[in-house]
Amino acid sequence: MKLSACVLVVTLASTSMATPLGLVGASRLPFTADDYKRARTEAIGRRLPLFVEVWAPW
Amino acid sequence: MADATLARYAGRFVWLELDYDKPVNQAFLSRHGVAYTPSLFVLDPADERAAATQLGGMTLSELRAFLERGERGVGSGSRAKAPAGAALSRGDAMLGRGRMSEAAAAYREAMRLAGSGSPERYRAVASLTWALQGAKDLRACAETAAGQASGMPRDETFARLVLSGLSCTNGGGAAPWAVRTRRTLEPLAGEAAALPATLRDHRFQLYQQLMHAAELRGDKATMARWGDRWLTELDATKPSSDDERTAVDIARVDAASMLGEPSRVLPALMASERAMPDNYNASLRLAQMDVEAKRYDDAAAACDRGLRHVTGPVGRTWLLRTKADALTGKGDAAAAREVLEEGLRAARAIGVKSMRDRNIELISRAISEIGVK
Repeated sequence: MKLSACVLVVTLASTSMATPLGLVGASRLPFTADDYKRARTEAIGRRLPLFVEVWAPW
Repeated sequence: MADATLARYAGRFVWLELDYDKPVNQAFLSRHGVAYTPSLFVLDPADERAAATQLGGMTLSELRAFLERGERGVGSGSRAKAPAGAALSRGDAMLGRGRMSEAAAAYREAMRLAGSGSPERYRAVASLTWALQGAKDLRACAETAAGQASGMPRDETFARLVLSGLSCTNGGGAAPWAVRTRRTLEPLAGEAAALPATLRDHRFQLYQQLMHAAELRGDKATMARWGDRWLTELDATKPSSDDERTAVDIARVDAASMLGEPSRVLPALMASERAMPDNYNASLRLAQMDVEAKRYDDAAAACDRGLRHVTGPVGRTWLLRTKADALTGKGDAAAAREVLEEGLRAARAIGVKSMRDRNIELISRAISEIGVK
């Protein structure tokens, strides 16, 4: 999730709510989770751009 | 951010989400210098060049524009772009690689080439301040924002610019340049926080920076007012998902911690942990506020509950550090040291070097401080 003002996490800004954008579900966007190699291979094969969202669970 | 209108983009991209704290993603994070979440990219899969990069959240309209821009950027490849657009693309590509100084140079060029008052110029200004912040050039970030923000339309780009600027300003503490830029940026941040166009996440960060700015000025009353406003808005938020609930709790902890009123948010955090018993973040947030409220046994117990569910080294490090704080608070130095040693082992598994090194440094210092007492 979100980075808070914790010194354990080196961030650019002090807080950010970094939940996944919630683009799956209601938007019906077909997300792959945590498999960059597979997603990149698919994007190359389908000749599509690759959208990547990096989020944090805190 | 779920919205049915995004469905039209479904077949135009391959979609990937990466958990920052999962070891399997560390190679990507290192290669792209990702140090902030959320970070969003549209990549050309052939060479991993970032055709569009965004650090931080976006409104729906910004997201649509981001997708369109990224799609064009991958499709255009080496085709000629308008000069300002080309410079913006270079900036995004550098930002997407974590090469902040080079990104800043490209955004400066985009500013120079873009028409006065154009959306491209405003986007270049906002992106420049984030790149400068990432490059740790806080003064340049703050001075850029202070010099540019007043003349901008009051939209989400304005809010993002002011947020970055005030963050940089506050990072400068009492330095003369920081005092000067704070005078300009603090009222603009108040304005940005009140705009309907401002992303909620950014509004919460603006509250946080406004509290910090007031604190730096020694103005406790204003700091408390912003904190109350923030907590009131959080309490009025009805989360629609566990993700949103967690996001709200993180903001609660930030606000209550800055106000020095941890007990104020304990009931809400306890309710969240009951609602999400397998979510280590809920336990972590509760533990943090229990420590600040000096409820050390409760804090340690919450950390143990969280440790049963944590999945990555950053989360594990954080929980162990918090548990060590609780044990230290109880006066049990030996147990605190043991937990910190475990935290050190967890920190060594963090993939991103800058974060790993920082955690190791902090925990090592904490261990040595216990040793001298």
